[in-house]
Amino acid sequence: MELLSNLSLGFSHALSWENLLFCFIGVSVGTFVGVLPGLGPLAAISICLPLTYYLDPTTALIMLAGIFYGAQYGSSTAAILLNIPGTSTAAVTCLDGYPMTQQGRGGVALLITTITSFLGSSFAIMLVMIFGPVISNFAMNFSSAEYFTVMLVGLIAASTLSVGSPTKGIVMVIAGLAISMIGTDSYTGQYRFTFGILDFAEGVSLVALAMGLFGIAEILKSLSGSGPIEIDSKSITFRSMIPTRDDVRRIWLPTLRGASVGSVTGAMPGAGPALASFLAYAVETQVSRKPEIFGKGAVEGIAAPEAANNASVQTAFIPTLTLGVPGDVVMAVLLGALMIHGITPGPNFIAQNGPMFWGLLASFWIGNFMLLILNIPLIGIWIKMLAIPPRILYPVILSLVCIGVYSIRNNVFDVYLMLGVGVVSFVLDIFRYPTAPLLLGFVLGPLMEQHLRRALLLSRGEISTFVERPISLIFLVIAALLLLRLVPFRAMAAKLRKNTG
Amino acid sequence: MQKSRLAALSLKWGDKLVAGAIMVIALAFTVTAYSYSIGSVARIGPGMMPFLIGTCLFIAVGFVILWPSQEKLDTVRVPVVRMLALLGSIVIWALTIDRFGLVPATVLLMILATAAYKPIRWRSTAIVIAATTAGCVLLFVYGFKLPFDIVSF
Repeated sequence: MELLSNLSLGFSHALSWENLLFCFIGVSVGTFVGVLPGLGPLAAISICLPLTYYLDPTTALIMLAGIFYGAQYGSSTAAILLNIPGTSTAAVTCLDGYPMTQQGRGGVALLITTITSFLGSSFAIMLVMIFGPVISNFAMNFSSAEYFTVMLVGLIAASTLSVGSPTKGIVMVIAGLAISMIGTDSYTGQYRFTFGILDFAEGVSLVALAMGLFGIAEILKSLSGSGPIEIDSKSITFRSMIPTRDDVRRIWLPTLRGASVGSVTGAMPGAGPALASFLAYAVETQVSRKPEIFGKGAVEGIAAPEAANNASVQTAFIPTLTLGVPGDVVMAVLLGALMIHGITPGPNFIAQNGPMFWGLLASFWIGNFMLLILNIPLIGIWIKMLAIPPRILYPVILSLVCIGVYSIRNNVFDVYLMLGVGVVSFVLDIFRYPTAPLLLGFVLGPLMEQHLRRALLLSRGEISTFVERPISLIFLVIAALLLLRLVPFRAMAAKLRKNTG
Repeated sequence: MQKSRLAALSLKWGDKLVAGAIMVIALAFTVTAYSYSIGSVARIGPGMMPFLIGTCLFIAVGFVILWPSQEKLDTVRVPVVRMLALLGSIVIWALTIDRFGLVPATVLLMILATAAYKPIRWRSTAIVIAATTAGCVLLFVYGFKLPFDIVSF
């Protein structure tokens, strides 16, 4: 009963004209960047971040979240039609989606991904509604020691479970923590690492850092990329999208399994939608009676991963909003957006910001419904977006990026900072240093320092406080296990043997 | 063959160079942190957390250097002149925004940024520049009421 009254509160907020408008803008921008290979939701959210300064926090969050889940819908379009995943989450969709296009069933694949994405999202939204407040109540028992250790686990998991070298991921997350130390120490008022530059006194701007890392670096990468893609959008008609009765019968269970896998994965720190879709696909190949059909245009092979990645995007809000621990970098940026407005997510978030929490959840449903409308009849328009030449698209984005960064403090220093960060990010990307963990470390750094200080102050300097509290101990053990996975025991033993002759 | 071997070699050394640079930065960061007050365990000072972070960074990057990952690095084409044009467009924007206002800064940025992409079609570029500049003025100056000078000389 309480859930229903909360939901009605949420819908009353989400259905205001302003929230509806920005939800629509968010899902449209999300679909757009999802369709375009290269420019992902993270870059789009970073670019839109300055706009949120001028919006109500709920409206801002609704728009940014809309970009995130809208991109999951859009990314499958390029994956199915061109075998190019718009984002990493749609890489699995290529496996069976593109063979369906080759068989002349691209329209069916697009409709199935849209419907299963909607079902996966709806399943996960219900889980967030039920479990969000439960986890929030549980986290009320957390003290600073638990917060510090849970953030530690979040950071280590995010950097070691992501794609690429886990050691380089750890380096980047610590680099992010280091950058977050620049500025004025909030306890003593001492300037740290400002080197006499007053612009650093308030710390490094989150917007300049995010735009440099993801916006500028992405634009620089575009210079060595290929030109626009040629595709016949007239070949996808509404009639060509209608699935057969057999298709419909075959997608229900994979959708449910995918949504379940995605929901669990999304709530775990560091896992993210890409891992969710890979896991869902792996589960399907294991449980199927005909595993040989996968990779040859099986509808199950697109239904399960699409339901999974959309479900994971929704449940990723559980740890972010109830614990204040973002599971991945997109969530870190959203957390940063809330902090810009003076709102710190945590166990008290739902109690203190009920209309915002329930309004956001209600907007998820509204946004997903908008995406159904945007994706089915307007598919031809999204396909045409693939043909926008980089010489038009990127200069336009660049001008928006510069205006956005400058407008935060009316200071060109942030523009130069963004430029420098962009160049460094481009170089780091060549050598496979993942830049996403850096931003995660940057957002969590000040919070970690605050909780470390408070925990040690309350325990009168007893470091054992972190192991004496059971929940904190569990998190420490998890962090240690994650770190132990990284130690190259075999390589070290081989090197020792070699050295000792 | 010779060229690709050279590229692989430069990538390998580049990887070491990047890791080495991070190590130097980590060391400088730790030393600078130590110059701030470290405090005690019960009341940690402004230097404690950065000192711990710098030390962890130094150790972590040490692992990268000693046990490099086996993943293969791809050679990336870096069109220097075009990249400089793109980066220069941002510098030009930053140099002109306060002196000349939003419209001249945006127009200059777009001209230089478009020049980074080939082939340049000036007619369509002019239309895009006009539309983008007008859109930016409408959105940021009139929509969000940001304190930008549209044109100032």
